[in-house]
Amino acid sequence: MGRISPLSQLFLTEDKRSPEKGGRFNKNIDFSPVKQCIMKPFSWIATALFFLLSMPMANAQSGSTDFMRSMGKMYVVVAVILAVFIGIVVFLVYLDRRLTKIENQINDHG
Amino acid sequence: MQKLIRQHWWKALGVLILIYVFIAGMLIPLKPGITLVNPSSTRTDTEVVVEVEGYNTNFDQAGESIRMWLKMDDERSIAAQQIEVLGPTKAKAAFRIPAYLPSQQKVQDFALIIDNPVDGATVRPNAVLVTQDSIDQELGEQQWKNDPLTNLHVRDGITFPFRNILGETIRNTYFHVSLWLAMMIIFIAAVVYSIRHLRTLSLDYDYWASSLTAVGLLLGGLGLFTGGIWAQYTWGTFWSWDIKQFTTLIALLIYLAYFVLRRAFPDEAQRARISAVYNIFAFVALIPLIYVLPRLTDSLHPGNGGNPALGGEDLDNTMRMVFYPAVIGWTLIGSWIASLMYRSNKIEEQLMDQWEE
Repeated sequence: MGRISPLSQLFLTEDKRSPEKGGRFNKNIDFSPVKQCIMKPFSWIATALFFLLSMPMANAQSGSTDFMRSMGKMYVVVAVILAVFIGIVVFLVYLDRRLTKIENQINDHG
Repeated sequence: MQKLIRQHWWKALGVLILIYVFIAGMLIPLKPGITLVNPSSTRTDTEVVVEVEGYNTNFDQAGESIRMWLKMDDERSIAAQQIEVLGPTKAKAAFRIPAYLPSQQKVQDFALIIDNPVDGATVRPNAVLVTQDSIDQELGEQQWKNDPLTNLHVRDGITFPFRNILGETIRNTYFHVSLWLAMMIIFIAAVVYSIRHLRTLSLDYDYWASSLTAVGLLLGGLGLFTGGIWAQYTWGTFWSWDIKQFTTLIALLIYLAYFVLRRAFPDEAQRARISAVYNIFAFVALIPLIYVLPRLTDSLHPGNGGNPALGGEDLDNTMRMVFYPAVIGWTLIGSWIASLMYRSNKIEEQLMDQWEE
């Protein structure tokens, strides 16, 4: 980076969320723990929700509504059952992580 | 309770009940219905050929014995003069519309009734609108009495009701509506444990209350989401700010804040007591939000804005035989998950106590 105006200096120090874009001020800050903290618990839930949300939306947008509405809208029932199933699985994953945490604590204590 | 959470019979019962719900709820067929009537409007003193599309019907098996009527009420109807069967779900019927309608209105709606020995009688309300130029009710009543509806058939076998717009999605009663009732039972249990905690200050009851609230929130969230999917294909959009969607969202956000509140207190005893009080307030807010407010204004949901709830054609006796087990099944599975959370809480507490010594 060449010369930096005082204003952009202020901007660079403020903009902590994009270290790769920033200049010398936040070059050495390691953001990976922050990212892990935010991403880890939510990545499962986020992916599951994304797939669930995109399923009905994709149908509505592309205009190929015939599949979901075929057979007297039977596939709407299938989608609802799938949503309930995935919801319960996401909850089980959360429970699984909690038990793993307790197990790790036991291991730490010897 | 300590004994019960180690026993398996009620967990197995919950699974078996849900398996029954899945099998019965998905395999029992719908009653025959009429999905399309074309044209849907005509004038008096004409010959009209109506194209009919059925659902789950067997017009071809019925053949000659099929009969159709245009009906205003029990005493005023006309029969089709000629019926041509084109397939199991397709037929054409020719009606001779008389010169006058048995009504004072310029436009009157008529239901289409199809009857045959195989499917029984099926009705499509508001199927055909007839417009008349001049009004003469007495003449109309004479002309519309040409063939009374007699000897209607009843279909054999177990079926779910057929509703226009809903179609097969009426089965969502077992996978969406039942979730809400199960959520209610779980939240009631959570409140009971919150009160018990306040009376005894035992942390055990706090663990139960928080686990049950988490599961109730899961069931409620799934109820909201499955309702959105259902709404997409019946009301047109995933989220339409319907009064019941709106109030249940608020109720669930209040319950979500319960867990935010819990995280704010590092001290266990303090956290337990304050969250127990909050849980009682949340429950008190839940009742009017779910059961009172939606009934006061117009809503797309059945049971609100003057519509009857859980009755009539939306939930007949056949559906009750699947619906109530579904509620029990979801409640048992929810309790199972809650008991797992309770046990993990309990283990964590015991370990912490050991390590502190």
